[in-house]
Amino acid sequence: MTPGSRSVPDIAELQPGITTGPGTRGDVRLVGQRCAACGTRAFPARLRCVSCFSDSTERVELSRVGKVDAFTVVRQPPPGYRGHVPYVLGQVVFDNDLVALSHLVGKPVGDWRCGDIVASYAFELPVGAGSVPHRTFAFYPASPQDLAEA
Amino acid sequence: MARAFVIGIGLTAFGRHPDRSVEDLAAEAVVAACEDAGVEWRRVERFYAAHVNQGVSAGQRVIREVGPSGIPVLNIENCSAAASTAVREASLAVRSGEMDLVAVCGFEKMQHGMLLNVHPEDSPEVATGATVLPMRFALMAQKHMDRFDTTLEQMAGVSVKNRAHARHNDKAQFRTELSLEDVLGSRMICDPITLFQCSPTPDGAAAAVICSESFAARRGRGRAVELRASGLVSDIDEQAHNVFDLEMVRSNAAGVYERAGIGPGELDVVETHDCFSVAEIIACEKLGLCPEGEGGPLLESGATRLGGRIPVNPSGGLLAKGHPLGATGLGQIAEIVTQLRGEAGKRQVEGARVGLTSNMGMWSSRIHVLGV
Ligand SMILES: [Zn+2]
Repeated sequence: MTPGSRSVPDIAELQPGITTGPGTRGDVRLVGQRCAACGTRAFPARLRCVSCFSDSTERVELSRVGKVDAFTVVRQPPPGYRGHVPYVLGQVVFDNDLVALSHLVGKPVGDWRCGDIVASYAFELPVGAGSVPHRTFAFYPASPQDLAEA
Repeated sequence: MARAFVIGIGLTAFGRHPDRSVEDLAAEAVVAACEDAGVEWRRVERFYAAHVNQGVSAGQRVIREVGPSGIPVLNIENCSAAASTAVREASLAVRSGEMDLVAVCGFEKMQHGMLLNVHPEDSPEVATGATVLPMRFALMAQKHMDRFDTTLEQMAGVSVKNRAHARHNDKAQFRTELSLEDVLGSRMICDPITLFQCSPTPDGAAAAVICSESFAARRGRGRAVELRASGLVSDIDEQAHNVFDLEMVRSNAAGVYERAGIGPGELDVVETHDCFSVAEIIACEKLGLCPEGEGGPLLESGATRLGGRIPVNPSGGLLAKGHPLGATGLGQIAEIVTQLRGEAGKRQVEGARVGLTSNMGMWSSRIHVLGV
């Protein structure tokens, strides 16, 4: 599965507003927050700025390209997870210094390495007892176009 | 502040107890601790109950099975570190002069299966499969391997060592030895953590009786072990920012060493929170037993084995003794008390006079330094 090989249709979002709507290649930006008072950024958005307690925060679309800081292949899923097994979860450092815990997809699970350069895309996961498809995000290996746009 | 002493400990076997209630297990530990201390239950002035998933006010249900009492009961939930948190609160109550004699018990009947970072069923963490607890330690392991060239064999060696230690602990869940090949060859759970690098989830209870300096003086110090210093650090930032590290252990240890007036070089024995093998390697670094990044070579050198420079987890640790969440911290303290009393039999660290417990629960660190 390569990025853009399918576009995610208009389905329910797992965490509404956590990404922008998908572009033509399935590309999304993660949406965080920036404090209007002190400038501190956070991903995901929190209830208020935790640096200065201001609730005057604005949504900010973050850079799509990041680097894998650490990852693991989960071979025994926890109860309630309905997606494909095994799956890869990683810590991705993006937009300078923010960190996302995210699925890593787009290449065989054994091929991931710390330091891999990745970009954010829409990602579909079955959710709940009915395995209802929901849209969330995942990081894929960054394509030349992703890097050019960054 | 005044001083506080552990004068009694009690432990059930950690393991499967399908036919016994959690109240039964906890009451066994409390009674054993009182008998070990040589005090009557009616002398106890306050009871601290530590547990995680045992229902509301489980401490009151336990006391019903111990004996009549009009004393205050405090229930403490702090994930896997509930019991060491309760011991800290109990010791502070004694050291402040408010109490002379208190009892603490940690207990848990565990769900089978792997440890989870529990979230509500409809949360995004469940949907994305991010509640699998070994995942967080697997990320730390990958980063440690990447930064410091820590090897799979070094991490697996923690399980081999702790299983070997547990041969001599009749309270441990797993008392059979494992080879490096057994550990590395067991089922992969979250790369690079294999099944035998995950702590088992037994049922169990552990208790302690803690008294003031004046109480200890009146009855003679005997086998008393002093709770010299303790600390609690919760690293909420780590969790909020999706950064998994054990920095909280380092910062907590620094404060505890300062309050205890010692450095890591003065420790004789350590019980640390090896919920997954890599956790012990990183904790050894954060506790200052070796420089940053050298936890792997420290393990490989044999320094942390019984007979080594600084034995770590002589009880078998969570990996072999087991990890009944609410009881775990008191299991560690009971081991250090046993070691400092010189009553650990074949797993005794010769001449141990100062010991440390490092317990963790959902991104909080609790450390105790004990001494004789
Ligand atoms: Zn602010």
